Amino acid sequence: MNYNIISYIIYLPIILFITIKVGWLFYKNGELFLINILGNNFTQIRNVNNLLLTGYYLVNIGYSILTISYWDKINHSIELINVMSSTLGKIIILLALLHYNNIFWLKHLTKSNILKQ
Amino acid sequence: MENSKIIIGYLIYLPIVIILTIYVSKKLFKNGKVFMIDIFKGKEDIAIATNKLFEIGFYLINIGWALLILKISYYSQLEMNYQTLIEILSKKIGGFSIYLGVMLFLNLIFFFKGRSKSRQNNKTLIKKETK
Repeated sequence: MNYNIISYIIYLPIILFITIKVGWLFYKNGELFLINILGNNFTQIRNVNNLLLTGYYLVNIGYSILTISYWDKINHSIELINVMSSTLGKIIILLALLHYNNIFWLKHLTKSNILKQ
Repeated sequence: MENSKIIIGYLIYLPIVIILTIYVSKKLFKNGKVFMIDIFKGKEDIAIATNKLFEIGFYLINIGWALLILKISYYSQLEMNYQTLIEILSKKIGGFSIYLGVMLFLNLIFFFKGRSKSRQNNKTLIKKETK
């Protein structure tokens, strides 16, 4: 077994764990905001929330699997750590940027909703 | 192994950075809850949810950056000695903690801006009601 395959085996569980954990936290905490925006229609809220979660999983897990095809050639163990940490770091920062983007949209939407009332 | 000191460096760097991030975000968001409750005018559930969302964002962006700058590049024929290792580590950890401080102040600016904005909204609403 060469180092590339070892790095894929270590990389995939870590990134899947981070994506699923963060998505679940968003799902739980974001429901209140959707209630604030859409009113008290609970079935609609649950549907919208599920759709958002599915879209999030598709985008992030798809991207993290896609990065495997652009992986560098790894020759020894230190390169393994370097390449893996830089890829993980890039994906986590991307997640954070998407997340802050979402927060600002939520803020905007809730504010316009409050002013309307 | 010829490069075992680099791995020692990684093993020292990662725990320090992760513990620093967790400590700072615990401190920041324990105190940020008060701001959030003030911003959302006492609606406690939504304030706590917003606080949690900001906390997740803070963790993600800082741990992501810490992993991104992990790589120690040392291009020399000589064996790395402990002096070089300590100097490289001090550069990395010091730089990361300065970055963390900047992020902390950025989050504080978000809190203060949100608070002043919600107060302005309150004032305009009160004016409309009195008219």
